[in-house]
Amino acid sequence: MRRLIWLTLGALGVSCGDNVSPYEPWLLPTLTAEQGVWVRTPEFDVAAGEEIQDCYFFRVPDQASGALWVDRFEMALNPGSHHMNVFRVKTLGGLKPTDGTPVDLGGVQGTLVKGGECWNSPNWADWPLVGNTQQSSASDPILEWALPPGVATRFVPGEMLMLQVHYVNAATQDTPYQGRAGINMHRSTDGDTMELGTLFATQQNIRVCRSNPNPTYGGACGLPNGSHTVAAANGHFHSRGKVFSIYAWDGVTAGRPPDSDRFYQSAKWAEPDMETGLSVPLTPGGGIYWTCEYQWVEPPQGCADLDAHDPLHANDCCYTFGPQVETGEHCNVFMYYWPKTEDVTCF
Amino acid sequence: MLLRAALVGALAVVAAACDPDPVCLGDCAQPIGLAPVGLDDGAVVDLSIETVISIQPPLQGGFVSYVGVRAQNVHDLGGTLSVALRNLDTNQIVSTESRPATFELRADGWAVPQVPSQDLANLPVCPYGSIPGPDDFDAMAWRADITFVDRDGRQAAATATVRPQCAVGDTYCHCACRFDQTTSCP
Repeated sequence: MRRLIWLTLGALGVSCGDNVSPYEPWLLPTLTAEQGVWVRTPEFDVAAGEEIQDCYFFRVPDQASGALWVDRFEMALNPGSHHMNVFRVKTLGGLKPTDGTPVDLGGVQGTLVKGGECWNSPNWADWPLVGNTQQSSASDPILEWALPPGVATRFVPGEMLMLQVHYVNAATQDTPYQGRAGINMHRSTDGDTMELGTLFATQQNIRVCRSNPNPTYGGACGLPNGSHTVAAANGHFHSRGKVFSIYAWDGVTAGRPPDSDRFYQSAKWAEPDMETGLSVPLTPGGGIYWTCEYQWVEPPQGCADLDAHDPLHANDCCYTFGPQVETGEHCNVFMYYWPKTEDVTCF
Repeated sequence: MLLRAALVGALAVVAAACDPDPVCLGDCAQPIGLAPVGLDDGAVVDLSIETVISIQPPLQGGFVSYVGVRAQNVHDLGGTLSVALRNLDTNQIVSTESRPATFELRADGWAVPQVPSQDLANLPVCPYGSIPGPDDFDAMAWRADITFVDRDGRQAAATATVRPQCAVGDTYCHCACRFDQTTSCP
């Protein structure tokens, strides 16, 4: 309903007098079964002061023949989203598709787990990444991503996927309208034979504290033996994050590689760049090295929440590892490469 | 929104200006001394040759081993600790991490990690990328190359060999550490 109101206001040319154009909801075309798979979440409210993280489960539809190969993605988010991630479901822990409530996702039917176990990252520790976007500005809400020539993502009919959507309407991010996410996965029709592989890596023990206000964390994640080329990458941290860097790494050199090996850098925490036009060869036996540089800031809401979340109870106003944007920090790499040997998680 | 950003930025500048002065633990005119340490069954242990250390689950999932140093002549505000776990034969790094590390002075003159889980490198293992083999990760010894850079830029390095081990009876850990990852763990 709210979307309809905004559409109407937009059509009437109504503005708020602040030089901000009325919001125009994104629109993705629906796909036929021959064209691929489309997914749309329902719209949902994100109340002031609230963070929402929901997990939508759905199965890859049956195909006329064989696997589904996808060589183009469109991923769209209403403004205010913190991220949208898609994973292949593997080992089931506390987060189960069968625990969700039925939900109509447009091109597929699924189940929805709202909050709860959807916040708990060990639940998807071995779930291979499929794709992600953090792009949700009102002026550019759709990530268009065409995979390199000859490369496609392969899905087995019936395999379970999980779409995770995180929205924030609090001190560090605003959700001015309703939350909503959509994906189009376009079937490859040109005979792509090289499979896209993914790498999801996270620094899982982070502290950004008043007494040590400028920490940097770094780590490496190796790929299986073989020759691999980076196709796309993006980094993810929260508002204390200042610089996110990813380097090609040779697998034998300790420490941060030289700047000449850096293929990704972003200083934008809320809308970090998704580099999709990459073609970075990696050393066989190597992988990637990444760093997250932080700057501690006085929390607008005071230190009580942070100190309450600190597992060490240091009373040092520390932002620690955690999905909640207001009190936690992250240092996650999403990287896509070809040809796939295996999907890699460095957790 | 702009006002909020400006306020946050101003607070950040003030916070940086208030960064406390470090206190030397020892004699910082002397070279830094390092002794490798690791975490085994919750206790900080000195590392020498194939010392057993734990492979354990951190709060956020996966498995890690902890390796770091005790030190002499370093600042209490610490510096940057980097540890690389290498294959003894191929020199290949199976896991590496770099993080801030702080110390507190012990009665014997050594500065020891303040909080082991924070001030030792958290080395993700099992599985971490892929297990390079030829044996299961927890059936092999690995070399730990350790470097420490103090806040004033002084550096020191140390090396030890370690045998990371899953807890007895932790079948999921053993499974996750297998060289052969072609089948899922239960």
